[in-house]
Amino acid sequence: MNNTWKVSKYLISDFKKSLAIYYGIMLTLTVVFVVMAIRLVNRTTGNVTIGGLGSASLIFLFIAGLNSFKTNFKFMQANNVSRKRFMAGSVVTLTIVSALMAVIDSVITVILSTIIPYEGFFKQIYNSDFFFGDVIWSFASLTLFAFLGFFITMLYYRCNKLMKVVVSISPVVLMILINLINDYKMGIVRIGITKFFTWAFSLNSLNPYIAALNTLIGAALLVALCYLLIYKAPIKD
Amino acid sequence: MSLIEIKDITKDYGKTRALDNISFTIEPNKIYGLLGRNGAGKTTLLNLLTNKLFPTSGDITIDGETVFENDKALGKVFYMMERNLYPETLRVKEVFKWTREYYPSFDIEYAGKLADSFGLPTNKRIKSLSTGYSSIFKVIVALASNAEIILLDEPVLGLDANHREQLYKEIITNYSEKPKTIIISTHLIEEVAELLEEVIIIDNGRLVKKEPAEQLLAAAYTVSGEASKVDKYIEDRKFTGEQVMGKFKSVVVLEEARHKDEALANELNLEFSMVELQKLFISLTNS
Repeated sequence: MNNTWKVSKYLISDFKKSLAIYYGIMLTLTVVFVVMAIRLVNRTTGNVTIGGLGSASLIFLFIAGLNSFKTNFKFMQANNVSRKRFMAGSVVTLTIVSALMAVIDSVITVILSTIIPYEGFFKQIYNSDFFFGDVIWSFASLTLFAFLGFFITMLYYRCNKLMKVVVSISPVVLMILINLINDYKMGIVRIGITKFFTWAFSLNSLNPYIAALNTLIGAALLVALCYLLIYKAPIKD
Repeated sequence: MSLIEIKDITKDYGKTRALDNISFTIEPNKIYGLLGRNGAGKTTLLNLLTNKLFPTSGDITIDGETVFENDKALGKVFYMMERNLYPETLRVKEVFKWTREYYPSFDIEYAGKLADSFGLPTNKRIKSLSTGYSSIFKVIVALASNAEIILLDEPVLGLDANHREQLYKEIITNYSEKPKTIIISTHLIEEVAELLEEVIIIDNGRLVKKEPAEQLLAAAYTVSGEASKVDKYIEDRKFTGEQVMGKFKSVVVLEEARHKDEALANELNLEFSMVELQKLFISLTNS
């Protein structure tokens, strides 16, 4: 068994408990949704549609990504595992967990949509019920969020106190700057951003596979940045 | 059989030079003492040996392979650090289980036996261990890892005298049953002196001595007696580590024990004794 899988084995075992708690809550919510939907449908004659459980998974994986670095990195350092091997193990783990959650979420969507008027993100955006399409698109989105969390936590880890402040306020400064330039350039920046996201998520042609591909490219870019950040990373408290 | 070669290693922290162009070889299957005053560069050297830190210049190899991000070379070394790197929520027995994943020769049974003999409950979480038991836990993991090279940084931190004695005996037993390279970095020099086959002394980031302990101790001796007579004996001799108690004086004479002047000592009513490693260390690092 090579070292990457050994790293993943530990990281996955670390994930197990939080995944079990998460899906325990999701199961409870699903039951509540079903009960609520049946009652609402019985009371009204109008269309009632429920959705959005998928966003909880995105948030869960983003937070999981945020919490996947420091403690695990130190533990791997205690076992003399190289940084590149730890990084490879983390990539494998987050990818496996994203894939697993994509399948579970898509199955939940199928089950819910047969019982109650439920629409997942995939259906809402791409107006499709195709199961594997949902799995692939969800996997890509979850992977992106997981690596975004992982990247942010690594970025903070590598920063000194001053840089942490700079990194923390930079999104606000960036937004203000964008707004200023946008106002100065008669809305051209906002149009550009909208165009980019429309293209990236294929919202015009409604092709979820192009969206998934673009999202995975984004995730790969974040992984590349993480590799740069972990290079010669010291052990910090 | 793991040969460690440290080649022209320099490590700077900003403008501070922690290690200054150090080169030496660590032969396999010996117990080394890595000695130095606070801030001498001992922990920096151990961190460089295990890829925790990166040298400003130079290279470190194990059996000819660089340690830089090299899992094969790093897998031969177990480094017991002074600080705790283990997840605080893990239990001792869980750490044993996971360490075996990364060190396939890790002996869980032996680790359990050691934990019993030291009174370390394996069900305890890492965060609930006292300073002493945290050290015991880390040394147990190190010894049970069966790595070819074991680095122990302040292994007896927070341990009472009984546990320290027990630990030294265990290190000897472990070493004699399965010979390996053990490097012990400690300030309790006199306590570990009997364990050491070779001594590495670092001072201000520079290598001062790297010699077999026996040879190092034979290169000096202590002479003691009435102060004025000791002064007479050490005329024209290199000496260090003067200690005066009333009229009594003892001095470390820096010449081989075989060159001592027995006749003169008899005439002056002086006594010779073997130099203590700690005294020699102090004399070598007192700047």
